[in-house]
Amino acid sequence: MNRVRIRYLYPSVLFLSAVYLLLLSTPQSAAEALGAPEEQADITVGCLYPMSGRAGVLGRDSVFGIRLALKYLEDHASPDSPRLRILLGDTKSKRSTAATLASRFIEDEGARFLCGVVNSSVAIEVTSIAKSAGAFFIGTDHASSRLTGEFFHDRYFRVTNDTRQSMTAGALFIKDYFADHLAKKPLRISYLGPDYEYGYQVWTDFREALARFGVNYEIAGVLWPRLSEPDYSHYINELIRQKPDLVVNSLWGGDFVAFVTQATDTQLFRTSRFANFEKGGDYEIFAQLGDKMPLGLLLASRHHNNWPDTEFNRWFVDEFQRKAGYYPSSGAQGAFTGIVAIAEAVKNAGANYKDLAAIEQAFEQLTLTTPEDPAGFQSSMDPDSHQIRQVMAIGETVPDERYPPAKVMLGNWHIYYPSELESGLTKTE
Amino acid sequence: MKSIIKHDSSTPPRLRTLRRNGLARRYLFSALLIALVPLGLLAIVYDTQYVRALDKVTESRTNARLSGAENLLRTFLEERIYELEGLADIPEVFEWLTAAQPGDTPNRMMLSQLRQQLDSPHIYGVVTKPAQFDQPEWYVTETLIKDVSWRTLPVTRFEGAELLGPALPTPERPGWIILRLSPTGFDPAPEAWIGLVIRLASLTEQVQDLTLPGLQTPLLVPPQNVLLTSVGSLKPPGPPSRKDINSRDFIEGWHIRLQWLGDPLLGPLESARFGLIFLAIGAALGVIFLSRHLSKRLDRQVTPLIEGADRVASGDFDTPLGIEGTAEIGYLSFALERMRLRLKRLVKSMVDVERRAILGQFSAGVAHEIRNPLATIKTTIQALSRKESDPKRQKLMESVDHEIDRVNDVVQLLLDYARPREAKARKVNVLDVVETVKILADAVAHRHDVELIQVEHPPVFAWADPSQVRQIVMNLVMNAIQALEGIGGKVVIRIRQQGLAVYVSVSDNGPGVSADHLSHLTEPFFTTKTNGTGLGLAICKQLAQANQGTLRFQSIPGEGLKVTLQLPLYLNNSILE
Repeated sequence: MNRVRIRYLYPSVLFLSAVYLLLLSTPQSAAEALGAPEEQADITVGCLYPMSGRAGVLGRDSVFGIRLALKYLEDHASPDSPRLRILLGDTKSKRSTAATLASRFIEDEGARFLCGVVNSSVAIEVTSIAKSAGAFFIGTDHASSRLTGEFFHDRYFRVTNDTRQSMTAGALFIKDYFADHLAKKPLRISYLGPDYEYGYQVWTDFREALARFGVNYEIAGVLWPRLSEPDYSHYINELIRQKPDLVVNSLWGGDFVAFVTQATDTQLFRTSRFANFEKGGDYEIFAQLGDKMPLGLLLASRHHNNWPDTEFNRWFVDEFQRKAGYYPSSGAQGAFTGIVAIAEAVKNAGANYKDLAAIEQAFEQLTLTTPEDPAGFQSSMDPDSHQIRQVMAIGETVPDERYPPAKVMLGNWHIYYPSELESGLTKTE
Repeated sequence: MKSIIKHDSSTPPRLRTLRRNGLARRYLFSALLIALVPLGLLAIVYDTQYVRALDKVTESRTNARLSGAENLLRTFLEERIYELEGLADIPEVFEWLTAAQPGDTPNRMMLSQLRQQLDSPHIYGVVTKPAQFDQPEWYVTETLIKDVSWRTLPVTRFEGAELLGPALPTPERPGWIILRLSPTGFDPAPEAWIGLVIRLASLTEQVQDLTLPGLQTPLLVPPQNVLLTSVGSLKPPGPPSRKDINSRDFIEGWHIRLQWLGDPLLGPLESARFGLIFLAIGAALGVIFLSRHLSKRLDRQVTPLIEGADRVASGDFDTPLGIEGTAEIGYLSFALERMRLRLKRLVKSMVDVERRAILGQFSAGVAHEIRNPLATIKTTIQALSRKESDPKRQKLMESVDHEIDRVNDVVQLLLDYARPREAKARKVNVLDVVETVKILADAVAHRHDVELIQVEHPPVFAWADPSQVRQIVMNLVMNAIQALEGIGGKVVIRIRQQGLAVYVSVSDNGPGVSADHLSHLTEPFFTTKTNGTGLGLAICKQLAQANQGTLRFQSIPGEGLKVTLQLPLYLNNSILE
């Protein structure tokens, strides 16, 4: 009898499941909004992050960062502060999804600002949509320097470090760290970067920086595993075979975790020094690898939980941990800074929130204190490139259990200020 | 091989046979057999298995695996063609390719469709060439197409589509290929086409399963005849190995090469193989060397034994064998030496007994025949002497009487030697005996200008016949004094007790006795004195033996002679009279 009832119920269950799945597959932007309600909002910002897959943690942390930014703005609100409405969209790290969401935010939701985007290839798609729609695009996590170069437009601003800055810092670090070696012979470098726009640009910027600072080097090999590569063993074997003095790697997020996990069981870290000057020092890496994280790796990221030791950074890290239950990755700080920067620029532009030219000018003049600024330093927007100018910090992995579940954090810091990074740089119009 | 038995042309054939069947030679052949046969078998088995394993790894399944990899490569491209056909069939795309005029830009719908394609991890971008356009439109990051002229890329037909490339990887960017298709199917000279820019590494990684770490690495060889690794990078051309395996072309101009690495894995195996062969040769040489060494050593040790045994067999008991050798040979040498000494003693003893028996019979006869006339002569002389008034004749008669006594003494000695009196052992105060002898001998010693010294010692008791002990000691002391006759010197008498024996030694600082004479001192009639009988020490030895004692002679020529009498110690429970 029960069997008969189940047989009758089966089509209904199937139908309801299909409806549920359809609802789940609907872009989150339609369902999730933060900040002021639509009717009270002065500004609508459409934020695009991956919320799933290997890069999902960055998107989820970014949402926490946006929540923290809204609380921060509320606590420091002045009468002329704009009311922000934040729309969230899951790009799934796909160009097509991101382009669809960006168009929808601008056309259907009236967003004049887009923000976020982790993947540089996706960001290139989004920035072209923003450009054609006359919207602002505030980059908070992607780093390819082509967005402030080849794909530059008036309303694109990036509030986190780009590949040129981080790789310039990397080149300066190598010049200093390997000074004894370089005095005798060229440094043999192997590069392994993700096989897409970001990986190519990191490599280009790195070689340009090495040339600019006169670092004597040889290329032992260049490898391009695809994004979300499931097995790095062939690449690791190839790196071991090449026997470089230094492996420069620009994988990030889950890809970097997978690579380090596989490489730990090989002789790679014993035979060559290993560096990742872009996102290898991200807290999410340390949290995921725990005590499997090797010591002595040369890493950096766009924000560090244990540096700088300022009241603002401690507040940001502790508040994030209190709200989320875990410590933030660098994406959170980027998203936080992006929202605060939008609010600050709009406020600085005056009361007329529709005067986009004034807002653009305010962005170009923007100075801002961010969690990653050391004491006595303020981040500032470069009016020419629309790239924020910040301090770069590179460290070595050392035992540090203050931020569980990570057992390792960065230490032995090497700090580079924007003035050092820009020395020898000739700007082209 | 040198024989342990030396022989010349007169060596009997039997000994020559022994030489051929020598122990060392047999040992050599046995050892070679035992060591080399298993080693040889092991080497053969190992070598066979090694070659078989190598064949199994390198050849047996290679063809099947190569075919599988070729299928993977073709399937990968077929899937891309399928995607491309789907893209070309989209109305907006078809219209763009066939109707677009120079200067036109694609509409949003078409761009959206192209973007969908870019989400594939294998696709870098899309390229379109509308019929009216001179140059294609690229939807791909510029880094990839920088410095590449698409018209110079090699073109290969594949299942209705065309493969352009590969654009080889450079230090700045990865490699890629274009898979292009005409909207109406393949045209030999297409005016309009759409292509996918495919990640080269996505194609090359299809052969990763052919990797045998340390043994074989798969490479893809495109029409440019360069070598592409499975991770899509260029491999510097190296010297080809005859063990490299090339597949057939899975697409025209494209094939797989299995490059033989060999060394990293096979190096140790090859070394082990050659090591085993060297080990076998080394073992053989070692056994030969060992056998020769043993043979020489045996020869060195056994030959003196054989020579010694020959000497003993020919009656030479005096030459020592010269004990040499280790272990069994050493024991054998020692046993043979003991045998020689025992034989020597036995023969000497037998000669002595025989000599004494003959001497006894002779002495008894002589004594009987001489003593009675002597007694008559002595009585007659004494009678005549009493009546003789001439002092000269009186003196002559006294001399005859004296000589008769001396002859009688000699006869008595002969009788004593031939028929020694049986010893009657009892407790003897050796000190008393020595002191008595000293008192009696002091006068003679003084006459010969000899100093007689008795070393002080507390009383010590021996178990012996007192008169025989006194006779022995007196004889030894008198001999010592006589040895110093005319030159003067010192005679020292010492008593010593050690263990269960009492020793009385008499030493002088006279001319001593040569080593040759030393062993003959106790033989009857052997004497170094001009007027000695040669019976004194022989009798002493006999008396010593009769009292369970011994006599021992030590001498250094020019420094004197020392004679030691050993007697059994008197013990409370040794009264066995």
